[in-house]
Amino acid sequence: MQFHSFTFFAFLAVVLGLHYALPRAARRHLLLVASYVFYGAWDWRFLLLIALSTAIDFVAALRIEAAREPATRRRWLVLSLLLNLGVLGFFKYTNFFLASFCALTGADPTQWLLPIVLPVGISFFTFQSMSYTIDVYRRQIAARRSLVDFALFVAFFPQLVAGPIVKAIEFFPGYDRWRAPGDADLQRAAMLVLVGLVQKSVLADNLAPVVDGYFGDQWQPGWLAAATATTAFGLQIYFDFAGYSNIAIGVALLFGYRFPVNFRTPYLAGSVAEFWNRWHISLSTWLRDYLYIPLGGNRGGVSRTQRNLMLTMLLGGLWHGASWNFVLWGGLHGLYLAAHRAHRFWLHPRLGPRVVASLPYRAAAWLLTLAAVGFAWVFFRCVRLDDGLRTAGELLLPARLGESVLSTPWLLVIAGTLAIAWLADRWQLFARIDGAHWGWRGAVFAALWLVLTVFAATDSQVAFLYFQF
Amino acid sequence: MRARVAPMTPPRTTVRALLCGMLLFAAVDLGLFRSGLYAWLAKPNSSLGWFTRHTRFEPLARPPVEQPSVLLLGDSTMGEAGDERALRSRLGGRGTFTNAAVPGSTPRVWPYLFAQMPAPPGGWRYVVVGLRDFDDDGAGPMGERRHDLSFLGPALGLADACVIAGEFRDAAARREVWLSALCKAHAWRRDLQDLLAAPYQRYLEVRRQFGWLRWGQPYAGRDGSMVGIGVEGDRVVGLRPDQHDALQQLTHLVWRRDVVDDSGHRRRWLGELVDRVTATGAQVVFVRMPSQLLPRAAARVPATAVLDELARRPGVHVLPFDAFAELERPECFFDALHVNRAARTRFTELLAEALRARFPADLGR
Repeated sequence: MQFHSFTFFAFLAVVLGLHYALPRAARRHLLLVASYVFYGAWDWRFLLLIALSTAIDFVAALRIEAAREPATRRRWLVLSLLLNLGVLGFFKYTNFFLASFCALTGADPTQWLLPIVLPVGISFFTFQSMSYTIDVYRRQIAARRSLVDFALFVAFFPQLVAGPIVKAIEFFPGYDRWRAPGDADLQRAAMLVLVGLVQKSVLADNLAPVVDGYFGDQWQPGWLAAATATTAFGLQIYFDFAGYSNIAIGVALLFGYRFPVNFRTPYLAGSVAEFWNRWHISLSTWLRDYLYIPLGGNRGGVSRTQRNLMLTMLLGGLWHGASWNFVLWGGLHGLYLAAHRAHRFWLHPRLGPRVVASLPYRAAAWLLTLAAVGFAWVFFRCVRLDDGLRTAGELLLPARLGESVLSTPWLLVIAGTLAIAWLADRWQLFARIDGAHWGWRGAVFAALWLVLTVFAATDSQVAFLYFQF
Repeated sequence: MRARVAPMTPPRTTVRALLCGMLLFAAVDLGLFRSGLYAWLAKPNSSLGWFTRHTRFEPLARPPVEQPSVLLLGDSTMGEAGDERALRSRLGGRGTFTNAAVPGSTPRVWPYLFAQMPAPPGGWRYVVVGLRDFDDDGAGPMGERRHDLSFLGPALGLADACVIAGEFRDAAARREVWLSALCKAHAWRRDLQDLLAAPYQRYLEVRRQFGWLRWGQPYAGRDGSMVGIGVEGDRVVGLRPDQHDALQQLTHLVWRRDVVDDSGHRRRWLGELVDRVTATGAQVVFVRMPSQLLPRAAARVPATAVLDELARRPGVHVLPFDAFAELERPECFFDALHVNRAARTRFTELLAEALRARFPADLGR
């Protein structure tokens, strides 16, 4: 049940209607049932997996809270983490490690690989559930007494299959002080859902054939082809995932649940560190809070900080997919972050604040960040590492200029979206629209509907890219 | 314990904004797309543009006449073969002829085309329908042909959508039908995308034809010939390099492999066309267009049950299967499907003779 399908909107209408028709006490039960129906529509067998993960963490959190001995608390935490990571590891990484073992030893992969189906959204709900036990262990939140409350936190359908990864510490305070969405909330929700649909169906899905062609059987030599195809993928994945996140946040808001923003115009970032403060914010903060800081963060000197950054990004890369491509992608970002950190500490004081704040410096930093992030996308998108290296070779050491894979209208659309992103970032465009007279807001709605009607790629429904993670 | 719940703010302005958005959207859809203004302004030279031109604009430019009016329906094979002016001339000025052939259209499109076309003052007297073949076996299940929606989009109402959507197994096609019925901006979206992809070229085209009710490239006959092609063993030979696109079509013509029984679809939509035409008092004439430029590999009796059934209905005429057989030679075609200029003239002569013989009171000397 894809977010941009009619089935989903019919499902949403029914659940919303029932939600506000039922007494408040029954709404949690309704949302839990609806969430399980939503997930079961993908593959009902994996409902057991969610239920198992929920039960383990529910019990573990209660035990952690009840235990007086630190060692007992730690044992329950370790048990919860091992079980969660064990399930994730089995489904997501077993074949990756077996295939790597076969490649190293020359063993026949067909004899070793297991017929494992990856449950949709497993990386998201596992991380979400883990955040709960860790927060309880850290005494940042109290363990939940109600299994329904906790099960809903793990399985709430707007963010179940592709995030945002809402941490327990962010979810439960709003849950406990639930209030019905007001006028401003509904305006924001409607805008988020519409903008998300435009991002997904109009921009991402129309870029998909260009990207699939280049990274599939229509690869062509030349720097321009590689650069435009990589740009196209960078935009496709952004619009795809940001579109999904906006719909998820908007739908949750319709039910009165306020989720944190997941993307803040990441391609306007002036450094890779800033990029990660703007891209998939829920994952980057999760990795920061539950991996980077426990590893030592930036405490312990330069080399330990660099090591922690690299480890966090390598594991972040592996979280995205069980393939060496993703490890390489994460590793590249680790290198970028380490280089940025070194640059900030060594070069900035020598250049002086005036130079660093100057427009040419900031423009150069922005372009360099775009180029670095774009280059790394090559390894994220390619199917085989060889293909990624071939395209990377075209970007770094081109033999010829080649031809753009994006047509002139597409380049204009990209320029237009960058301008809108800039306006949204600097001029608070969406906040201004939300605060405008209802007539103007109506005109914006009409314009978005028209764009969606005319330009949505309706011939085939392209699944959200992040569902595979 | 749960905290006290804050009172809900009534979502008045959001509801107003959403309603305002819907009204504005409906106004644009109605004023620009449903009204035909977009087609008149943008002059789309697409199949959909032709469909709209035939149904909305050409009738406005048609001079009132007291003679029997004859409508030619079909796909591009009828478009390339049927010469309106030559027909009138061959029949000594008896009758006016309108060639409303739409390239790529199929029997499912024609009832809607007929229904949407305003009839001339005395109504249509005869509707000549050009079929590529009388055979009920086709290259694929026509009911699943999504391209038909490109024509039907602007014509579909909600009642039609129920019927058409039911013919598709593919959910995306069914969705397409409903969206096109509800919202004409959706039906015109491909043309709008085409316009925005090359706006300057379209601007030049529109400027040239601004204000006209008839645009595009009316069929005027084309030169060229497929002479030299033939069959050797199990392959078509003699194609020039610029003719290789025709190979698949020719292969199907000769060997007709993997044909499927499409009689249900033909019965449904040719029957619908006959119903709609005869309800107006007009008569239907089915003709088999010259198509078999290479002989079939194996002699086979075509399944013509649908045409046989239709021929028994009052007001329906079926010209003989081989009425235009003399044109079924490579030298009469400029590609695998369409007759060339010389054959167009001959087809028109033969059609005029056949109509005169069949309807001497109206079209005879």
